[in-house]
Amino acid sequence: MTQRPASSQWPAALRLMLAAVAFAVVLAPWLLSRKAAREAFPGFELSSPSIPADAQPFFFNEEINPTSPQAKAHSGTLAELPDGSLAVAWYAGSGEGARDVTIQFSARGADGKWSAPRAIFDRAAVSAAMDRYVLSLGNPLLLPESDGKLGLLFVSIAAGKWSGSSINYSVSNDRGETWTSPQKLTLNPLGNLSALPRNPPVKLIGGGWAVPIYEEFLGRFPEMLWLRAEDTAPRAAVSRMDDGMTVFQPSVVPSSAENALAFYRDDSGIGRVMVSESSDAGRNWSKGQPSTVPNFDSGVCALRLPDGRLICAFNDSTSRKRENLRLAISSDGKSWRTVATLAEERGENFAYPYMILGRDGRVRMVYSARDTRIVYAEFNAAWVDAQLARGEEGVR
Amino acid sequence: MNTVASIWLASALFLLLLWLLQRLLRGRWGLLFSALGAALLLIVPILGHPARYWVAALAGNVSVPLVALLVASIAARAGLSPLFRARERRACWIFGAVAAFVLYPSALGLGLRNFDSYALGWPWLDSAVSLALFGAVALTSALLVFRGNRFGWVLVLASVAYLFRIQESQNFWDYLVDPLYAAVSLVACAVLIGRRLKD
Repeated sequence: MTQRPASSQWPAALRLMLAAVAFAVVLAPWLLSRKAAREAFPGFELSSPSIPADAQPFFFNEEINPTSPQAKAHSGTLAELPDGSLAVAWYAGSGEGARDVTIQFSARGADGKWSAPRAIFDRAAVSAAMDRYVLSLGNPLLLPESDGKLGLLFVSIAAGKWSGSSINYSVSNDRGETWTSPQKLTLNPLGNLSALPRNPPVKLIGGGWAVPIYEEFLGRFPEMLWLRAEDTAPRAAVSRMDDGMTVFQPSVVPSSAENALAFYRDDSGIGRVMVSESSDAGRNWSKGQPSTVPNFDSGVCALRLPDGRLICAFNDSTSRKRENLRLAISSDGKSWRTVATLAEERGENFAYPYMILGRDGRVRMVYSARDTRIVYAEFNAAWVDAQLARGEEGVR
Repeated sequence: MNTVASIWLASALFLLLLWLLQRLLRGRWGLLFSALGAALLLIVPILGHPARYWVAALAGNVSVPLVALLVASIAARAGLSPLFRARERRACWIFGAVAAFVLYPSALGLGLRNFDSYALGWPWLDSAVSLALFGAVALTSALLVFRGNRFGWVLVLASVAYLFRIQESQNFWDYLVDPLYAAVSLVACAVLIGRRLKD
């Protein structure tokens, strides 16, 4: 009986050919992704709203969930749909990370009234859809597509609290009435844990989103989620904005296709909103530098007004609670002047501001109030100027 | 989770349970009873959920080398022809340990500020540096295949699995390494180095 030779004893030519096949197959994923690579960083699409015809100051606010019995309503997200209607989502339940937390949704149509909030996802439904145990839900983020579809990112927690979270994606084709089965985005190799969205996404030229997200496992750090809706599954990847030591919860404000500023919640103890910049369409970011806006470990959100000025919503309360919510304005993103106080009450919480620019040039905003309410606010640049003229808050 | 990913995860969990039970149930019918036991554990709900729900919650992706290691170990214990010889096992441990060392510190936010080695696994995100990663793995695979080391084919299988997206992840790294494989590889490499130093 002849013994079959071991593969290492095969002729060198055959082994070389097999090695070449192995090399080509392992390299194939990279070679086949060249078209997608050319579209990876297409640049930021700038929103270009018309300046409001009336230059009169306008300010309005109201609670979206005024009768909610839930002890916690938090992390609101807001989107303007192509027909001008508004959609808002947030999470609510008996507490952060509680098992009864659901993703809540409400919409405002032409009648100007918010629909009754309703749960669009609970942990049982998400668990069944994704074939995995889900402990709780959290931070939603709406993605209004140009074709009228409404994307949604939200967090599911596998264990523990926020460090055990990961991000899921779903789409509505009927303005939030129904949602597709959620799909988990794999963004981290360590059990895919600890990624969360928080601040508004930035549209990319030609479609897709740059979504500022953050991780909080051993260290809290900011990342950019590059997301593009595709037929079968969304194409998702993340790139780093900073390391795990100093800043998180980025709010990204582009000034051109290539240039953008990012404002961060401070995690270093400096006590200021940190700011960094990118000049290559969000691919790389400079090291965060302190701005003049106070920040004591609370969420911030920034936005560019139609006239180019920047506005930032922030808390400067030094108590354990976030007892106020203020607005500051700047022309360069580094030096700021506080212009208004949206909410202030000792012992209460006003947190997680989320701002978008409406197509009419007005700022539309949601924030958490008193732990249980989601407040919608709307104002224009003229109102900001009026506040500035009053000089109520003074220069900081 | 899509059906293919769900089947892959359930299969990997079945193999892991079978591997564990095989160590408890010996004898002529050991493999059969182990397989039945693994299937039962896969189906019967634990605290209201199937076992795969609990595993998927914390480990959604299982690498191809880990599955290959399990298959090779189960086959060897069942008395079948060994799929992995000592040199394949050694290559597997070294690859897993190196991958863990390159990948996990930066995934935790350590290291360079704007650099995350995990991002290299999305080949469309960073052309030049990800080419270096894919090139290094391709070269490793080619060299192993040339030398007749079967672990080289495991890396080829991982690439094929990635092309067909058999897992939820779109990141090439998740087809090459996972935390369990990485941890086992680091321990195995430590033992290998310890033995080498002792000798």
